[in-house]
Amino acid sequence: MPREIITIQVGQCGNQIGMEFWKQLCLEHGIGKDGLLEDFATQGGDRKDVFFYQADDQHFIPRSLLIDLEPRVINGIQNSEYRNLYNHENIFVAEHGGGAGNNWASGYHQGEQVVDDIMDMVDREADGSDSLEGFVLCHSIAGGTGSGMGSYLLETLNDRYSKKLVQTYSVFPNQMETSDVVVQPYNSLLTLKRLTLNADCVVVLDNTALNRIAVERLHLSNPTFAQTNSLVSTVMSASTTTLRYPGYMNNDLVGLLASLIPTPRCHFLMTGYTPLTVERQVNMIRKTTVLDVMRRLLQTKNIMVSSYARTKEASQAKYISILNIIQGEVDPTQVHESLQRIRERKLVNFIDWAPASIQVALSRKSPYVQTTHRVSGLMLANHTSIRHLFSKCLGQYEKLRKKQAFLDNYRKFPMFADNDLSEFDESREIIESLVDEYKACESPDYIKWGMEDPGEANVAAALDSKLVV
Amino acid sequence: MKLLEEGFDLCAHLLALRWYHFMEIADWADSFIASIYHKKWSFVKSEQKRSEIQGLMDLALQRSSCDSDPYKERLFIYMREPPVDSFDASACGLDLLDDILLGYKAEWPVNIVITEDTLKIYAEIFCYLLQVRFAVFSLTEVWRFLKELTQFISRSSDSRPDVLKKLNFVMKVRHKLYHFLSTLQQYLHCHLSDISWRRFQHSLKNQVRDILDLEYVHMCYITDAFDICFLSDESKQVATIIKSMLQLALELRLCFQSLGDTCDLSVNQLTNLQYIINFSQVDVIRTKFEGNIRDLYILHSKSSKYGELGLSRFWGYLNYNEYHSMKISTDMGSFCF
Repeated sequence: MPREIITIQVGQCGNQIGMEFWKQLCLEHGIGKDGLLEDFATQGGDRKDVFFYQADDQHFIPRSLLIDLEPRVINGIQNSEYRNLYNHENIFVAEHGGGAGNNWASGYHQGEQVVDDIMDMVDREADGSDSLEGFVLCHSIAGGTGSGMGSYLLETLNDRYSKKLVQTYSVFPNQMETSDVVVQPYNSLLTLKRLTLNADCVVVLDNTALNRIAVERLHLSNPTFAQTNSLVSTVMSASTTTLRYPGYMNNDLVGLLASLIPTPRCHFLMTGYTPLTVERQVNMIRKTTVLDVMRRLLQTKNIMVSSYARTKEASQAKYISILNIIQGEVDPTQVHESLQRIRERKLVNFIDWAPASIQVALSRKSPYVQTTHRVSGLMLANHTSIRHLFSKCLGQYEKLRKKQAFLDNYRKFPMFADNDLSEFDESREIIESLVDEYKACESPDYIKWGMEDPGEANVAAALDSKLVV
Repeated sequence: MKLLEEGFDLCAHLLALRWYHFMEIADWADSFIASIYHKKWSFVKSEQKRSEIQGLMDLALQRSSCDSDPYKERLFIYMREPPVDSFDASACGLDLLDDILLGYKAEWPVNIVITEDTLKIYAEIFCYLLQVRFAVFSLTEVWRFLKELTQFISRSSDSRPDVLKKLNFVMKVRHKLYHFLSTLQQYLHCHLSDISWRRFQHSLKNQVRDILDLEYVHMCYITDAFDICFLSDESKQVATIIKSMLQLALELRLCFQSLGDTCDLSVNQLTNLQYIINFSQVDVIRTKFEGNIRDLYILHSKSSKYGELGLSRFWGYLNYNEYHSMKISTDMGSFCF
């Protein structure tokens, strides 16, 4: 039974990375730009139906919704070679076409007003699934539509589909350069609250790190969005490989998440991918082995989150869980040797409060896409250093809030009307608590965190007595 | 022999057995497990059991990535005779799966190599892997419930961070069990399906001159697989520990009174979590789990370094961050003190 996943791409960034993701999926499954199966795509064994369904004429249609409040990006998609790929009934562009003005409150408010139209599309897709597993939301957290409207959709999905999983691919803003969006810290904080409360798993795609990787690893002096988006689509497609090419383990999303996320609130994942190449850089080919790939995946420079820095505080950081998805010509005996070597050399610092190890999934890869390297790998990791990224967001928010800057833009909308800024305060508290929880994960006493009686053996009794009101 | 390999496609049969019995491609097994889990067995008469299970398997295969594989038609379910335990309709323990065996139709001359005896071992391995998968599935359901409960508490207007934190205890027990089982799965997959298969391929290439060699090499391969799963007589003690862990995984699910039913929860109930979760039973499971880990550690310490490669490797994966060994030594230290 397929465990279908509906993708919802919201806003400029969400639609751009979503488009790249679908391009990659089409290539990997031998699906043409118009959704028709290519003549050469005769090998079965893959699960196209997780992400696509077939129309009556047998062409493949992505289980995807394209949503934006301004038409530019979606028009671009509709005028591209892929214009016939999507179900046109699944495209929503606001009639006014004026966008959300990089304002979370505007995006959220507009989401509220058009939610019925969008949920009609979601319900139609859900009804068309045999055994819907969940939703994937692609968006950025810094602008107006992906952040604000994305937040509203996250809340609604959680309400209406509480039994389904919600995973997001969330793009965090580049903090190394001055942004055009001065209210980015407000937008990010308000979105982070929803990502904490309403998502089951957030794959963090940090533009700061993506740019660094593009400059340092790919030697691109001034990386374009298209180039960083291609990094994102690589990560997105690799992280769904085990769902699309079933193997022994990790064949469904819940299985993936249950092993990576032991405590539900700490559900923000980092990624790493190696070897990375972009078009026109085929001269950078090196010899790849399982050990080489697994070692590189643990290197700071390959991690796509900037909080993973070599600061003193970051050295306290610990891995809660790791899953390496390895593809290519792999000798399975090398997996064992690689795990041994990594342990002997103490390349990973794991949590002390529970057992943890590197899970390795040897995944099949598409027979239709030629890769220059023999072995490639994606790391999905739950790492406590992600808290530094949230602290940075909090710090930037505090700075702006202290000045009471730009708040008028928010007061125009119902949630913040009558100068009610409690939503900001509540969001800050939730993110602070999240940072605290990740910090507590670095201590051996994490499980006793917040409990008055630390005697674990007496926990059950303590719980029984304390919880009775 | 050439005829057997080329004319009767022996390799494809061997691959099919690896694919289905060793669950090399297991999306069908996942949905098979889910259907068994959700089926109301109390309404099924014992004589209908086999055909019901066969029906569930056929459906799972039909809707899986194996849909177009012609070799799936050779699979059939049969029941262990006599049954290990009576098939308790209301049970959700492992006895539900103890009697399910997967057969494979191998005709002459393929059955000269894939003999009835080897097929029995394949069926036993399948039964074991199915039980492991069932236990993992059960813990995944617990994860889902704990996640829904956490979200429900976090979002309720009367949010109680202290209550949230108290759930951590249950989450840790679930995580430890889950880590044990997923590590077991990873060990089994790596050694059974990959390394052992490679060794078999190597033997086929270098040791086989006639059909007797072929049968012998295949028997060695399947016996090796049986050992890897800790199912041989020599590893009975390890098998007992694993069986107990599988049972604990299923028992943990029973600690939740309304599993999968967070919709009906009220905020009032959240302040009395012990009505939803049987914390004392979770603690009993934790104690048993730690006892099992200690026993496994002792077995591992006693085993010769080279004699029991399987246990040594499994323990190596299990204790990757040295959590278990540290905990055992801390507990033993405080006990001595």
